Amino acid sequence: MERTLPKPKGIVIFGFLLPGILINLFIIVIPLILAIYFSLYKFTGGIMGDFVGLSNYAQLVKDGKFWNSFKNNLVITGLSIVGQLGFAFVLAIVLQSKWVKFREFHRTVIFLPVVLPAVVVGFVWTLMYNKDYGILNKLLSSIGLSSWIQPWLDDPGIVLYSVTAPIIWQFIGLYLIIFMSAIQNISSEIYEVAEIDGATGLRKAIYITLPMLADTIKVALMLCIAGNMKIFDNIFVMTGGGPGDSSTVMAQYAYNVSFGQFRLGYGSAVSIGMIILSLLLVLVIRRLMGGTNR
Amino acid sequence: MKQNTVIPNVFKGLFNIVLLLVSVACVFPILWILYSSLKTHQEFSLSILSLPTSFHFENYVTVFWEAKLYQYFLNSVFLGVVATILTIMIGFVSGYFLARFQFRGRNALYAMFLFGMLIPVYGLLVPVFIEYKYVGFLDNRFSLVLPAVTFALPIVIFLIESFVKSIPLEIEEASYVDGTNIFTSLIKIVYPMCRPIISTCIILSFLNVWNEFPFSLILISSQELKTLPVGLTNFVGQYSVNYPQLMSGINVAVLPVIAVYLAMHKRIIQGMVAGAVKG
Amino acid sequence: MKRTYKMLSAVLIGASMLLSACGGNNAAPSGNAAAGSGEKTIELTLTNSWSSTSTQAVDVVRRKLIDEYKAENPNVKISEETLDNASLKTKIKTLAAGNNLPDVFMLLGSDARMFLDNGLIMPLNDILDEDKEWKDGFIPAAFNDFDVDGQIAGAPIQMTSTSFVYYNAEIFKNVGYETFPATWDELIDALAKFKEMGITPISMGNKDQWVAGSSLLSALGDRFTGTDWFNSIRDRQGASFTDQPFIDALTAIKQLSDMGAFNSDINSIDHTQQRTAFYNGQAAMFLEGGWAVSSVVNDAPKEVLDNTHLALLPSVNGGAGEAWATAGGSGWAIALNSNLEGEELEAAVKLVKLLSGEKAANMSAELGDSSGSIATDYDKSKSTPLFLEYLDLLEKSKMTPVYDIHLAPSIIQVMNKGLQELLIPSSGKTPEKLAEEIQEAYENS
Repeated sequence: MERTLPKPKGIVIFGFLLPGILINLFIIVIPLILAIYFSLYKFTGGIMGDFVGLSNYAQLVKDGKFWNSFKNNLVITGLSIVGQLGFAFVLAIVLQSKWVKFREFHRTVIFLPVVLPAVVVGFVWTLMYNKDYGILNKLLSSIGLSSWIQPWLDDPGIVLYSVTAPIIWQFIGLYLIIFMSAIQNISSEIYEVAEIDGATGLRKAIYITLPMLADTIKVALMLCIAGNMKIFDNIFVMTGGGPGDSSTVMAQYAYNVSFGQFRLGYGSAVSIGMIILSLLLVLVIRRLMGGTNR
Repeated sequence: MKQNTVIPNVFKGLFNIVLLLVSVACVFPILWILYSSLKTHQEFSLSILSLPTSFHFENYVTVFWEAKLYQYFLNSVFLGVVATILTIMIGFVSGYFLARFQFRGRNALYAMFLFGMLIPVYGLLVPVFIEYKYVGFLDNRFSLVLPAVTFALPIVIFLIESFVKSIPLEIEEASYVDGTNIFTSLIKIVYPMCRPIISTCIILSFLNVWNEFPFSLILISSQELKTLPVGLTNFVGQYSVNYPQLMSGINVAVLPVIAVYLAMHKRIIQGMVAGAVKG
Repeated sequence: MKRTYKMLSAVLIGASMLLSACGGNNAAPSGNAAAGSGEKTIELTLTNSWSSTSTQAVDVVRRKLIDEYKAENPNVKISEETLDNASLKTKIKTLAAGNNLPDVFMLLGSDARMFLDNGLIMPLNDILDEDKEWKDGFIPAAFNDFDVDGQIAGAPIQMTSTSFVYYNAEIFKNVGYETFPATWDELIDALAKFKEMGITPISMGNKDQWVAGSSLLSALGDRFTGTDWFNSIRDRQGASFTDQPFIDALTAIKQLSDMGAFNSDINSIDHTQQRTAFYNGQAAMFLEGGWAVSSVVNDAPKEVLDNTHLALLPSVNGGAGEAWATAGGSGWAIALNSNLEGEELEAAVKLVKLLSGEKAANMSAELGDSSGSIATDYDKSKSTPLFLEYLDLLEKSKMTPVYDIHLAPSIIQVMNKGLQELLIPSSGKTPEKLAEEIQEAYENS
């Protein structure tokens, strides 16, 4: 930072930041410490059992179901990066073009799913996927693609993709707005210069818009990863993690262990493991991208 | 922009159609909930997609008055307003200080705030519950304010921090030279400049509170203090679900937010444009 | 635990002072003098899933009874919390973990042992013994699910089979069966004929995972293994899930799945949606507990309702189980917090008696449902034919244990998730493999 304001006393800064710190301590830090504490005990059925040290974690490392759920998170995250960020990016560029009709309408409407609660999204999509009444299968058969009709939420081979679609659908709008804002902030002079040099729509997107948006894209990527590593509600409503474990994500697994089997000690270990993995992933990706400006 | 000369009209037409389909796909589910809420339970059982044969507005009367949804509605509004105001106040001040000043622990603090984004809520339910029980704060009109604020703060602090960084320093510097204290400068000078991003923060933090479920389920027990998302589960019986009533309830919860969004969307988009999220 | 609390307290005291300034804490001690009357106000908390918009008998009856209780006991203030099933389970478990259960609440059979062992709920033995009339009014078998080594964990509020066959007699007649098939082979034959006609043989919605366990496996398993086997499993007397008869039961389910007896969306719809295909005449039968009777009566179109009848699963070749038996139990009961004492306890007991007793049973019967107690006096003319058929069947059949009520939740999760996989026609899950997995979870629990 090249220039700074006259810096207030440390105590003043601290005073202003205190409410935020306190509330964070109360809702996140202390409960997290408690959760770590629980994870060192055999805590089943409402009463603290024996201290078991790190054995819950030893079990976690060997727990195939946990790693399977982590894998599912990775798949969903990967698909979301392509589907949410990629699609939103394309839409953002297309929506800049004058020849697109109803631009205002599209911008407004594509953001609408963002305001819906995840539970409602899951509920609605479950019915869209319904074999007999679902709009998806009706649509497919009406355009002559009956052979594409699938038991969308029943086949373990495709269920993970089926539950990812609504997640992508819901959040395209958020990233669309973020990208559009960033694009509009790119100075129009740059484009004009490029056009004089003969750059066309597609090339402008690749050689100007993409690099100019690099920082924004990195931020969006982090938001996308953070959101998808803890995804729960949509999938919980749609499949409950089934059939079998085929669409179980880490948060669902932690929920199953804690509230389904009522093993709170191990459940806490699963939650902590989940936070560690998410954090690692975020850090690794940041490192790979060379970090943002901080 | 002169893409006119470059892209063939066929593609333009195609793109327009695809865009329309995308938009329709975004609106249809909402319309579906809307018209389904006007059907009878039996009509719905027999065919999920069909339009209602007659309009049963009594579903709304039932859910709003008999199932006391108005009470949950008022609670949600109260909570939404209080939590959003607090979130914006705390987020604005914290974001500003994190953006403008270097001090010891600044990066750690910023990381701590953003860390909230990675927390799986269900992992903290039991600890938070035990903590609340210990301080005697369960089942209080203000119980849900704290988690609501906490989980909205990361994105708000993040947006405000990057926005403040994009504002030139000169105006603030001038005010300090004039001898204005930091508090006055925050309210009179910085806040007005941040208005565009604030409206975005308002809708995001309001949505966060309005749709929050797990903490509302755990921390509140009195029927009089419940919020909409938990209140809605009332429509799911042990062995049966009355879908049209459930949908009426969903609409009561969803339509106000859509209305607020539609009323504010220009400013939200402006805010995003002005803020232009950069790392 | 204690030490953590001490450590936390320093930080929390500051926070709690801040919070108490927010005021409005309504954790007032119960037993405040009621203004004017001079009588003491007793406060009770009650957590249940009796939705006020439900048309299901079990909910309607309880709602009416609670109103009645309030009217008769103006000095008792009930703060009630009503949640859907999944939320109720999550909430009760969190409250139990924080040792903060409600005064009166709906207890799930599979939680009974844990809560009693931890001293969170009150054994009802003494209270039951004091009121012989109430105690003897219960259907005797209703206590089975809540009897933990002789201690009674709760007052059962329902007693029904979890596995009845609801079948469309008209459709069965079309393939030549005037009555419901009496043997497994005949059933398979009929199902194959439905397939040919393009009718879904069995409509099932197993998204919530308990349906296949409660309504199919628990009953079918008993046909193969007999009840002694399960008692041996439950009491850990040597039986194993890898015993051949249990594997045979899983194999039979696999057989159904492989022949395409189920709808292809079996694992993505729930048990209320499984009835839709049946209502539309597109499915020949579905499996569900007695609670569905009142829903079928309310929701099925008349032409389907008139052809709907009830049956038990047919007997199997060489099975050890009885033919006139089906899985059943009480499943849910009303439990009391172990902290209750004095007047609060009295008021709570009174409430439990009302909600579980003879009156509740009579009211339920008129609406087409059974309760935990025996219905003694109700207007039979109000009952529908299907309900009378149900009562008749219930009377004739012996109740065998429902697996997911009696086994620990950690075993049930493995069993139910595995069943989901078994029900996918293309899955590689073999009955033997699943049996081994269940056995492993059983040995680890």
